[in-house]
Amino acid sequence: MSLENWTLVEVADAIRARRVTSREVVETCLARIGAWQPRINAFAAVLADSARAAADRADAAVAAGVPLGPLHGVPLAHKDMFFRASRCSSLGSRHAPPAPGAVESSLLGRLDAAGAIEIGTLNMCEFALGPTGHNAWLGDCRNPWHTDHIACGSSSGGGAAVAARLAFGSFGSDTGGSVRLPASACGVLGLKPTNGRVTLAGMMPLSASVDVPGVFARSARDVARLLGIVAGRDPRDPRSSGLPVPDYAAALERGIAGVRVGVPQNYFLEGVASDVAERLQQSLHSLAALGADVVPVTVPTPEHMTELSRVLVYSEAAAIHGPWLREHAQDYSPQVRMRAATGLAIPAAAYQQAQQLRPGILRRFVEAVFAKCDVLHLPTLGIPVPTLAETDVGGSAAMWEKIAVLVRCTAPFNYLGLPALSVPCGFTDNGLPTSFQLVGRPFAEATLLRVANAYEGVTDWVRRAPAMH
Amino acid sequence: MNRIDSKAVLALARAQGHAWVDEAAAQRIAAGATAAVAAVEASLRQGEAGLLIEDSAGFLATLEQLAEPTR
Repeated sequence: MSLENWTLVEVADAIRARRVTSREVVETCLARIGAWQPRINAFAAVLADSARAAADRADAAVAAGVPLGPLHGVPLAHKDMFFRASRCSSLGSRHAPPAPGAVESSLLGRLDAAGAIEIGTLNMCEFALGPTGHNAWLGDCRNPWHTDHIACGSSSGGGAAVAARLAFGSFGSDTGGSVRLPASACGVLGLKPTNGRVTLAGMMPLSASVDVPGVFARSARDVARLLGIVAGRDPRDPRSSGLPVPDYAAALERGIAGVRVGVPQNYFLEGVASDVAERLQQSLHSLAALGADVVPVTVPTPEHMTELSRVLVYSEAAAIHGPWLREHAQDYSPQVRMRAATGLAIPAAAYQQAQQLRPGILRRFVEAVFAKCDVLHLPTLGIPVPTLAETDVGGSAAMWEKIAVLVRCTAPFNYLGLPALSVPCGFTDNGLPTSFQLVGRPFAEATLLRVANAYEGVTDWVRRAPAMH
Repeated sequence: MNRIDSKAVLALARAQGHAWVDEAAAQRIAAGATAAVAAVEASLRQGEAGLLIEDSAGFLATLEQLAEPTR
């Protein structure tokens, strides 16, 4: 198997064992970026020189026999909204508003400490506000499986770059589905952790009470390693949880015999395209064959949760962007301008009520659903991945409807704060990837990864790579 | 129902100095805000009658209380 198709864990272990050098791995990724970037526009910036220098330092450390981190010498790339004090992040924007000086992302700091190499910054929707991957300023990010189709968003570059083997893993942000949707569209795994599991410090906020950093990778084991490094309490982030971080990799080995997989009987399967439904059903058969108990579950009022999430997101986005938007409206594309401004028209009392309702709705949802199952199984995206042209609605009247279709199955879990994992499960009739989504109790990431790992063991979807046409 | 129409949006935008908001933009913003606020009202109707006194600062604590037990 060629080097680019190795998983993150395989490449990290090979560097440590001196079976491959970090420089070889970085050069492989840079060569692929050179070939793929003109086609899919996954990167905002390629950091070739600094990545090569870091790889040489990593190889020298291996040779010197010093202690090595769990990502030693492995090239990663992240959504261009995790701040470094040494550079300006584009935030997917025309002219990013000035960020406070010398801000450093805690998440990037943890990856640095683990030995990871940052090979570039990734394309994203403008200010992380958009589920399609269109970007008027950086250019649209395209799907590596078919470049007429969207990569989804807002962490569009993360899904596209990991699928095309341009980086071995990536972090994005997920406020309404922005990691899970591009992961699903591009055929890789995408995890939205429980809110509070991963630090927000030094990440551009869209809506701090809903935002959570999320992981892209090509195996459950890779996700487990990346999550284990960044999870846990951060003194710089008062919203981060102090709950102990489990050994996610160890949890993968337990199998899924007796795990109760809940299939929603309402809302989530309504309007799902027939080819998506067929792949979902096949994945349930695979999970049942592995020993899981598939059980029907009625889910409490998810249709309101997407809109409740919007109350929080748009109100907080309006607070963040209001002053800049007032003076620099022309620096925003029409759709982003209007979505950010929607919060200006939401009454403050409604915002506060959406916040106050959140703990009770979460409690009722968890008690109703997870008494009957251990994980929910549902679509990530209920339709085949659409084309760029089909979804290029800008700020027109069709905007809300198009967005609603894309985030229908993802946004409810941002309001609830629950962990959710998108797992590739085949291809729809248009040749684009599709996936199922697993949702668990708060902080149940280990259980989600355990189910995904078992499924990977009997299917090969995550090992398939897009071909360059 | 608390309907937010485009005239109200235009007035709010002007009051907050957003001169770029025109009638077309106001209609889009009104549609989004109305749907969002309607969900709050529907959720309030589903809850118990009375004062809404839950402390929103307790969301992380609620997540932690409901966490899957560590094995």
